[in-house]
Amino acid sequence: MFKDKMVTTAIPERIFALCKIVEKGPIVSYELKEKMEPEYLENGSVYFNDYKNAALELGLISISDDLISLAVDAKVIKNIECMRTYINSRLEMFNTGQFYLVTKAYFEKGSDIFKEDKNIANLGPLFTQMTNYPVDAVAMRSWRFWAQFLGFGYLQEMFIIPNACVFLWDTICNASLEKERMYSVSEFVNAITPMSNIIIDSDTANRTFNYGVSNGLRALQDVGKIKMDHILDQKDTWTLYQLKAYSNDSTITHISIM
Amino acid sequence: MIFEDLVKTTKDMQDLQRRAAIKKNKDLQEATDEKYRLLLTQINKFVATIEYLYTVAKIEKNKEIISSTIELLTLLELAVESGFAIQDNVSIAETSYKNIQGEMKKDWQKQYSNLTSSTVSTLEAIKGIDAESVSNCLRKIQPAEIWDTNVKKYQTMNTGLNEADQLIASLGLDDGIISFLQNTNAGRATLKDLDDKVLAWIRDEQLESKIRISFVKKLG
Amino acid sequence: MNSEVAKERISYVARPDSITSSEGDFLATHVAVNKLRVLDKFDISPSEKKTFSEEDIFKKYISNPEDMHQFIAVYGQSGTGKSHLIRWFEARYEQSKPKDEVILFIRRSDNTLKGTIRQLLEKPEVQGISNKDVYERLLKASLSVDENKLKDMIYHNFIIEIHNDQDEQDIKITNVKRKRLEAFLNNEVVHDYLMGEKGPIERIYSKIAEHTLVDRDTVAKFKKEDFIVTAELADSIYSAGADPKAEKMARELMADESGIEDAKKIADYLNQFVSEVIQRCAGIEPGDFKQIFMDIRKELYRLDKKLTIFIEDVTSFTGVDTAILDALLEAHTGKRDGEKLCRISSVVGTTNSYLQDNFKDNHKDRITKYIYIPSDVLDENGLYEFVARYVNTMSLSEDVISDWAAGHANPEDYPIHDVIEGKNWEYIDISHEKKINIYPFTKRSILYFYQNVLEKGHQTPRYIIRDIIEPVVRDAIFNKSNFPSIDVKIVNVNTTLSFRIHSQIRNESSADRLLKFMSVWGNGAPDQYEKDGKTYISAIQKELFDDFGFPILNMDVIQAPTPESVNPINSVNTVSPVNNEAHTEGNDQIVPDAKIKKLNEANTLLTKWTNDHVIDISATVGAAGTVHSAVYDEMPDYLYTAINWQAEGISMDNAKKVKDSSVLFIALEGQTKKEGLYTLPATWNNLNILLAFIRWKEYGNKSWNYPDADFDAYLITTWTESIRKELVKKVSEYKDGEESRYIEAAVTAEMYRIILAGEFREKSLKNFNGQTLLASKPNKLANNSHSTEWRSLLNVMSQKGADVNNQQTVRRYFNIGQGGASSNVVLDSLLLSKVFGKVKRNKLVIAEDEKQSDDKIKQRRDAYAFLNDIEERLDNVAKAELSAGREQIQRIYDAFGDDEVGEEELSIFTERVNKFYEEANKSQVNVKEVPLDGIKKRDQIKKAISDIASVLDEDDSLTIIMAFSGDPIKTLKPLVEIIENLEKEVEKANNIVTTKKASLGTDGFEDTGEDRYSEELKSIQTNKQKLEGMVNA
Repeated sequence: MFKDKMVTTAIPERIFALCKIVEKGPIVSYELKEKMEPEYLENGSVYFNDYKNAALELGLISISDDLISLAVDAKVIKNIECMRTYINSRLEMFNTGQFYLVTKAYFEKGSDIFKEDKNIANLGPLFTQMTNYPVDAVAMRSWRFWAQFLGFGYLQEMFIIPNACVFLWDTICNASLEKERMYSVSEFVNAITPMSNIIIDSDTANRTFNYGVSNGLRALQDVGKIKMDHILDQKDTWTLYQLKAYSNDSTITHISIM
Repeated sequence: MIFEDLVKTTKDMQDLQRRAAIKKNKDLQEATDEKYRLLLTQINKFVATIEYLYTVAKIEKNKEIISSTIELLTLLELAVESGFAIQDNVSIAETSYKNIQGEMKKDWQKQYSNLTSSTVSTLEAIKGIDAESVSNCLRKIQPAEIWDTNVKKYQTMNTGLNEADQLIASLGLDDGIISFLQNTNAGRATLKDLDDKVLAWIRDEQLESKIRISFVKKLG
Repeated sequence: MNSEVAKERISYVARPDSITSSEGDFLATHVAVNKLRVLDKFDISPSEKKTFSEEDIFKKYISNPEDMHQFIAVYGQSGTGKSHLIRWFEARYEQSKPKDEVILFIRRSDNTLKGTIRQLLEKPEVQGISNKDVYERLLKASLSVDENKLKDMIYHNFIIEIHNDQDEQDIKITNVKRKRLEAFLNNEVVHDYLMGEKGPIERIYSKIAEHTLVDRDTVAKFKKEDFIVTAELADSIYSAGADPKAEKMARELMADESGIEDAKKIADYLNQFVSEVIQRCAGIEPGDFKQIFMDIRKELYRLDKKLTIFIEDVTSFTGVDTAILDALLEAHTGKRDGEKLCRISSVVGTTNSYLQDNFKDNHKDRITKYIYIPSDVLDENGLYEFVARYVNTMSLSEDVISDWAAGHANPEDYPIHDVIEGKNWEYIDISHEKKINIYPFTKRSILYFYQNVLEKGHQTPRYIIRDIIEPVVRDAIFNKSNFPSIDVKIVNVNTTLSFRIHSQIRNESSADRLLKFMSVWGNGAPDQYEKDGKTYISAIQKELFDDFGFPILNMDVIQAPTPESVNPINSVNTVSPVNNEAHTEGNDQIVPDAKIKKLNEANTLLTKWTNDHVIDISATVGAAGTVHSAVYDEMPDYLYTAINWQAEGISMDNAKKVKDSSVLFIALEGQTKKEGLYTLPATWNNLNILLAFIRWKEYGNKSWNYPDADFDAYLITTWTESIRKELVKKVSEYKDGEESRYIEAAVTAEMYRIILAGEFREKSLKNFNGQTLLASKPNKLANNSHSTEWRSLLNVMSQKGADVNNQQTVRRYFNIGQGGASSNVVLDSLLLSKVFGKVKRNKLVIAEDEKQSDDKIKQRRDAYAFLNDIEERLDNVAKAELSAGREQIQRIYDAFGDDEVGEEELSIFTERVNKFYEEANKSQVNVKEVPLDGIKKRDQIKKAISDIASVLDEDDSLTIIMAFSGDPIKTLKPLVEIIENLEKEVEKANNIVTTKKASLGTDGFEDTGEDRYSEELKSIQTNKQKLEGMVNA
């Protein structure tokens, strides 16, 4: 799911459910499968391996001699939000995987994504071209579940509206930034890019937050979680995506976590 | 409750069967007994008859028949040895009796003839003399020709015989006369047969008018 | 403006009827009327191109340069300013009248006959006339009469007129009709009806009396509508017991074609008597007026004077108008008997309809000139000047004005008020290079009010004063800190502006106030520019904001625009686009106008919602329909996928049930119909959210591909995040603070069903596992032997597929699905355990207080309803089943004489039966064979018996039905049948045996033994002896 190709069957809720079972104690693979996909249900195929492998990839479980155990502290899977925060802290590990690449490309597209087909399953060719990695309809369909879950955007039927507020907040928490301290925008970006390179381009010279990231930051500001300031005559600036209606000033020099 | 009822009823039926069987046996037995008794009755009659005949009528005893009959009687004894008359045995006895009867019948023919033929022919001969008495005698004698176990018949026969003898005796008949009478009866008597003795007798008996003379027809 | 002065002066100056304002005020507020047309013949809507200014007309006609007899009729629509113009003519004339000219000015005052008479009486010229009688009659007539009495007088006078009509009028009616009409009018019900408010009598009365509430411009006439009889009225007439003639009339006048015609005829007929009646009721005779005027003219002639008469509104002579007109129209030239009359020049104001209907043709012919005032007499500049003059006049003391007026009211001397408030505000140019400061207005605000606040048909000076000038000035004087507090609905709110304001000002009412100011007084655009060193925000100079204590917000800096050209004022809706977001720069997408219109209409409705906090969106068309679609469809559809229910711990089954229910995800605050889980408060922000949804649907055709969609997408996603928690809570909860637990009911019910359907046949729940619950196979057996109650329960459960639905719920609930795409089920194993475990532990009992049977969400409620259907019948089912079972098993026990009937017993039984038949056969007892196939499966029978036996003393219904779930009764039926049949056969057999035994007899069957043949043996011996004797002898 993350190392290589994406699969529709490895959805976060299944991974979470699996971890919660494993939390109770190490369990043999077959038994675990039987709990989640018992034979008596007469499912044609078995999805178990897909999400088990995804859980393994993410480092949530470990398997030894067919025995599956929890590989993280119980805190990590205390609830699904914690799991999400944990996963969000490790996405960089999969920066050559299909999921990472598609997400990156999606955010690069910015608001132009609105001009594309509103069923992202049809955007396989587009992302194949942008990522240089073969992406098909199945991959896109799989991508949407995680894009929504991890907080990269909001799912509207078969479309993801980019707004990374949830992901960004996870990243901010994971970066252990201090509360009520005004960071310069570069300090802020430096603190979070190790985990958010997937959507924030820290290499370029333009120092611009793309549409999806800008939405996320603005959203966080709207709910009072962060505060962005433009202090005049500062050289250290980043620019948000222009949203005239929001404010005509898209320059940021400082960000504080509230 | 049916569970038990079944048993009871089954037993009842078995009992019924048994009883029916018994009844059936009884009937059979009765029938056999009936046959037995009947046979015995017949044998009784037979024995009584041959006893008469042998002892009173003094015909020749057929020892075989007697021993057969004794055997038969023994058979009958055996047949009821079990307490019940056994049908098979009774049947055998019946067959045996039949045989004895057959033998007896045969024997009687001879015996009867021996016993009665001359008397009867004499009687025949003198039939013209005293037809009534002769008839009476014959009537008494002749039925006995047919064998059966009716002892009375033989008693009557004997009586008849005796009466016949008496009659003949009373007539003082001798053989010549008798022969003459017989020939007369047979239509064979010719004048040749009329010897003096005969003529004398005829006159004595006043039978002159009772005898006719006729010519012998020539067969042409 | 000078508020101190204005405070006092406003009530005097802002008088809509120009009558009661003072001369000075009148002149000071007068804006030159210019687009007048002059005609020689009456034309209701003149197409003459040539226009004249008031000054032109004054010079050419009013001032009567050739000193001729003239009668000038001034007409136009109501409210266009006829009275004002005539008044101005009069005032102008006063200034420059010839010495020998007498001016008679009949004011509109209250426009009643009595008022008019009074005015006449005040004139010295009238007071001086010789005919005292007439004078006195007039005097008397001017006295007030009791209102009701006068009305009744009017009414009955009409009846009198009708009664006495000798066919003298132009419009005649037949005798029969006349009598009927009389009777009709005499009818009490009709009388009360016609006398009512808004009725004809009130109208006519209003022309005579003073102090009525009737609109001054109504004509004192009967209308056909007055005589159209409704069914209701007819009923009242009949039920009151009317004169048959009255009833006939009523029927004729019922509303159908002929009825309407008749009604018109009657109205026209009666209208002929109006003058008579009015005169009589007013106590005047027609001739009086004519006489008065003649006398006046004669007197004036005698005095060598001439007469110019201005009548503001000739309708005030209703009743005597013919007489007046005769008097005025008579030229001084021309042959006449009697005394000479002075020259008279009449300037008379009148309405179009009055001219048409009440001026007879011979009158019309004698009118020398017609002056027509068009409705659009005010152009944009005229409008500004109008407002400016009023503001100015209000800010000047009475003295200043009257001084100016007294000094000929020269325009070049026109006094301008000191600008106490309004420095930096706009100025309007008037003649002679004078400027008037128009604080508290801006030109834009004046235009806005004119176009958007005044109702159509009311865009006339009278309403401009009443609905624009007065309220705004008052607001600025008396309520400055809340200015503008007047209720003005902002048409086409600029969302960006709104957003900017609200994001920078937290207080909603302050934000609204500022938004109003910038949208109405300014151009409503979120921009600012510099011009000549001044900063303009929304085209309002910065300083103006300061005057009202508005905060200065940051807007987009743009280039200063070039000056606008003067537009003619059109009526509503073609405002210069204040808010045309669809044409943003650099965007080649064009949104069709129809869509923009749709959005704007929705915007208006929603803006109203943010003010009123109620809204009716039950309609599916129009503005309400657009919003309806957003609330009923777009929003819920979006939220359904945007929120990851499963990740939030809500089963998709639950989410779907909620989505499908009649309760909306989101309802608007104050929405008249339909409940919602979450209420969207009526705030500006939520207005924007709704508009975003609407734009997504209308502009983007359900996509984000339209101008400025990036903002909408941002809005909606941010909003989603902000309501997520609460919405999730509402969906997952049954009631506040209580989680929905319908799945427990569904699982319980399904377990019952599985047991009742015989899909699980064990006697305890121990082995009722996940497989049983989720994958139990249907019982293929077609028929069962359950009690009626049991079968009836199954029937009830299957009605409308309730059992199937419930099973679906159970099977879907625990599935961790992927967008509904796959058919494979992946179980949330822990949840399943939890729920299933609880239900099993509680032995399928849910406490009454735990039941959520009144859940708002129907499909969740259904689970409880379904369970309830089962529960309320279960005891009876168990009882009935147990009773049947008990009966059956008792039968068996009785038959076996034991309560242990197991395989062994059955085996023995079978043997016994076989033996029975064997013996029967043997003993030829004729019994029917009872086949034993039904009891071949002895283990099943044993189990069935034991199942039933195990619950004979049980009173727990669940335990009982579990015992019977395998349908033991059915299993045992054959056995019972066999027993019954056998009993019959056995009895039969017994009878036969008895009979047969009897027939066999009872004799001793014991005879055996040797005694039997003793006789015979003796006999044999005897014979033997005999024979042996024979042998030996």
